[in-house]
Amino acid sequence: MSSGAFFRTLSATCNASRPPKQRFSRLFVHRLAIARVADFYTWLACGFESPHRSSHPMSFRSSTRRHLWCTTLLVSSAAIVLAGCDPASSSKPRTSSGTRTVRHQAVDRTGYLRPEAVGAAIAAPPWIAHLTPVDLDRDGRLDLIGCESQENRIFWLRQASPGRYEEVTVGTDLLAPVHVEAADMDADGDLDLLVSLMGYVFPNNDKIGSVVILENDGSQHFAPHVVLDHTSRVTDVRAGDFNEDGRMDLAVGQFGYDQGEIRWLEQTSPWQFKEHVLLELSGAINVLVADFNGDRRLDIVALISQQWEEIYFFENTGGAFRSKRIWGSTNEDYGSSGIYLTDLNNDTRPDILYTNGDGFGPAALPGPRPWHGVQWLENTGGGFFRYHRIGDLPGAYSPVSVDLDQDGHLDVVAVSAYSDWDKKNPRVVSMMWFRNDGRFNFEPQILAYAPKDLITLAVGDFDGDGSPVLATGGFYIFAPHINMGRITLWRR
Amino acid sequence: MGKKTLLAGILVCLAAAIAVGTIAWRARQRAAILAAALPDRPDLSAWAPELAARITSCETRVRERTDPISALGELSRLYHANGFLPEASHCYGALTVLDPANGRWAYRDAIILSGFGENEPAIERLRQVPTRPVDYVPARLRLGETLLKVGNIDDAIGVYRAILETHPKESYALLGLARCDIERERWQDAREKLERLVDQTNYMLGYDLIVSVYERLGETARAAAIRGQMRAWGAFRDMLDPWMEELLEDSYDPYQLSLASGAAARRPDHALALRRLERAITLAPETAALRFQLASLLLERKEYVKAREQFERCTQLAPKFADGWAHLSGLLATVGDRAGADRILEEGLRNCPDSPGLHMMNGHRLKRIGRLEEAIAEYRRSIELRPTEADAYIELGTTLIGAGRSAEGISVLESALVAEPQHPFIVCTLALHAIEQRDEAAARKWIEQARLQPRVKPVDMKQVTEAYSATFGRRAP
Repeated sequence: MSSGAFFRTLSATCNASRPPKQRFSRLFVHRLAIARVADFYTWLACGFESPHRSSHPMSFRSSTRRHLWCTTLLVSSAAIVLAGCDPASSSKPRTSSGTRTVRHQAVDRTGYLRPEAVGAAIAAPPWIAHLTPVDLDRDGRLDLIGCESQENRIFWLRQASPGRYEEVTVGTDLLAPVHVEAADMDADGDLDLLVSLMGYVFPNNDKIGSVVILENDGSQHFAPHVVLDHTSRVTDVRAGDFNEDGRMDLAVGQFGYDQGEIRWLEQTSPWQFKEHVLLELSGAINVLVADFNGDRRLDIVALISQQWEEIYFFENTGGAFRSKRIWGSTNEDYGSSGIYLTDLNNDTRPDILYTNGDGFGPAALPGPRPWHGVQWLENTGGGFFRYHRIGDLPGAYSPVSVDLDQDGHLDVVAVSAYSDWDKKNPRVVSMMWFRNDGRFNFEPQILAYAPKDLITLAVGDFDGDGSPVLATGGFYIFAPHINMGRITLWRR
Repeated sequence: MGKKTLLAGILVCLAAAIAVGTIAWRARQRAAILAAALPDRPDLSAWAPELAARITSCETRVRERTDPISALGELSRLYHANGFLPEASHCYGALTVLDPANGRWAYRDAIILSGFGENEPAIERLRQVPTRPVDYVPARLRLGETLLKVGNIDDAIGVYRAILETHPKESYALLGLARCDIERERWQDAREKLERLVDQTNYMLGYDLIVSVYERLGETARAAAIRGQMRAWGAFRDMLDPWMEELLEDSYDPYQLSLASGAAARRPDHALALRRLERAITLAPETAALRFQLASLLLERKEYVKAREQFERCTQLAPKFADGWAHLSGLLATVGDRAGADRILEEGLRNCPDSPGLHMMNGHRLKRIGRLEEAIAEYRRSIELRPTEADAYIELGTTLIGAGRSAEGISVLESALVAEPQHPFIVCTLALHAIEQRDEAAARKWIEQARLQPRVKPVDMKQVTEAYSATFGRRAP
């Protein structure tokens, strides 16, 4: 069997193809039949039970006989009506309540975006774990910051002049950095960098993680402050003033391995933080910070992978947090790989985009699963969320929302990694666009087969012309090291 | 005609009409369900022709009403086992109506639903799984887990407790109850259950939660003792689930079979693991990854001859796959064929000149035959190719120290801590070296590092602290 079989999840026919008209008409006939029988029984019951029956002009006996005849006639009719009506609608095989069953044929749109490699040339197989778009030097041009996990460094891909990028190292000797965010932590008007350090990328339960803030001196020279160390491996740090004291605090996701945590760090004085543990489960991938329930306080949402496969909402109750699981799969191999903050339906409530595509498991090499893909959790208000499947994508990572075709509707793009399990298939998708038709039907459109093994995706208006540009980073841990890309910009 | 006769006649007519109507209605209902039961067929062009043929056969049998339930059941298995989950779910919708006594249909549908986090409909499905004549415990465990996922802790506890009443050793029910305790911050209750659980399962379950619970309760020494047993435990295994396991007999997906084999091997059920892999290889005989997995499994079973055959096949199929060469060479060394091992290593390096693992093995080989400088060069090459793993640093560092080049060796070991922080061997070695050099400040630094690392064995810590006391005349920090 060809490994192309794994594209089945991309190329299956739409399962929602039963004609809706037929479905509704069957339902209507059936309901009509039930309504008729119900009306008859109501009438019959009234006839027998009416307290006024003795005053009826017909005698009780004649009335009884009438009822018996009617019963015979009408029950027989009812049986015949029921037998005649199409019962399919009442017992029709149920389909899922969510959008899981909706599948579309993926369209090959590999020429839609034009790739451009930026930054340093490839020497060793790159380990670009994360990219974030930010105008770090506030010169009006969007830059990228990112993590090179193998080289233990944070880099700034500075857009020195329109379309010309220079790679500058802004942090070194940072052990296995996997996530970097920009925030003004000391309220001095420039952007500092929050770095999540695993210490060691591959499975390890030692307390070797740390959080380092690279303090910006205003000229993009950075001084490191270790604000958390000797802790479970850290995978994400985001800033927010959770206790509304005017100082930026931190939300921290710690994957660990067997043990991990979600915690928040309360800034008590410059570069000093007090720890508060919110959850003790291994496998944290991302944390998101936003006012999710509309109470004007910053809350935290966290994605937990490993065997748990859950998403938690930590409601800020005013400097303290109340935890609630808002989604959870019972499939311990679901493969949670990333969440992303967006307002997909433009209702002002922040929603959550979510990928599951981690294909590491008990086989010799990682690979695809039938359930890998992209979904979103619609924020329905008050701390409640509704799950919607967007589409299938083996090896899915790093979802983003972007109006890629500029049609006024936010689309979804995700990248893919490690799904070419037998290393034979050059046609394994590495970037997929789920085009929103405006009614939240997402049509999968293949944007790229190469470079392969992309685990980070960012989007921004890098050209300053209002058109979105995508940025991807490759992370290569399995030979053969072919079809590699370090940092690539993708534009129309 | 008497009134009684009339009445009787009416009643007979009535009964007959109802009976006829019911039978007709049921027959039509069944026909309608069967007509709607077949999902649209997905694109099977990339799959084994046998799968498409079996699906066609099932569809025909359903349409022609030739043993339709059995045919629809087979169709559902084919779709589910090969990852066509919406199609499988569609079949289950009909099967749960047509054959409600068979709990598999509702159960498997629930697995699909809850796998996607659609937990409320999954709960509904799980409640439909009959408990008689077969009380399928995994279905009840899944119900408990799904209730837990939706935050219905009381009902989850009820389900788990009911299971434990009839199956007091059911570990997953105990784990579920422990999770419920943790959700409610009943740390002592959770601790009691988790201690039973790790004892019952030899730390296959509960190893993760119990450490956090101990830390919550301030019992850091107990927590550290468990943490110290393994660099990365990752021991969690999902429950044995025969109703899901039997689906794999209908799988035509070699990768999913290889995953199932890996899961079986970890349980460990080697016989099943072998069967799954052999089927995978039948489907994809030219796939090196499958040969490698099979060879590794055979090696674990000490079936050296068969393992060698598979490793050799792997290297033929994928000569650029360095692990194939490395394991084949290692196998030959294990069975005493040193010359063969060296030859394979050489061949491997010729095919994979940038393999850090093969360069490190070659370093071992050269060191063994006393060619130290060449071994050192090989270790350096391995580090250059893979600077993120401590192993080659340790080999290089110890080789240099052994060759009397201590300063160089120590410097290499210090570099190794960049690759793998808090590596227990390195931290202890550096502490002992500092003590030997009478560098008390450095010794204190490394001992403090060692104390942060629960994987430093007590016997090693004892050796370090005693050496410190003996050298500096005071207690180690």
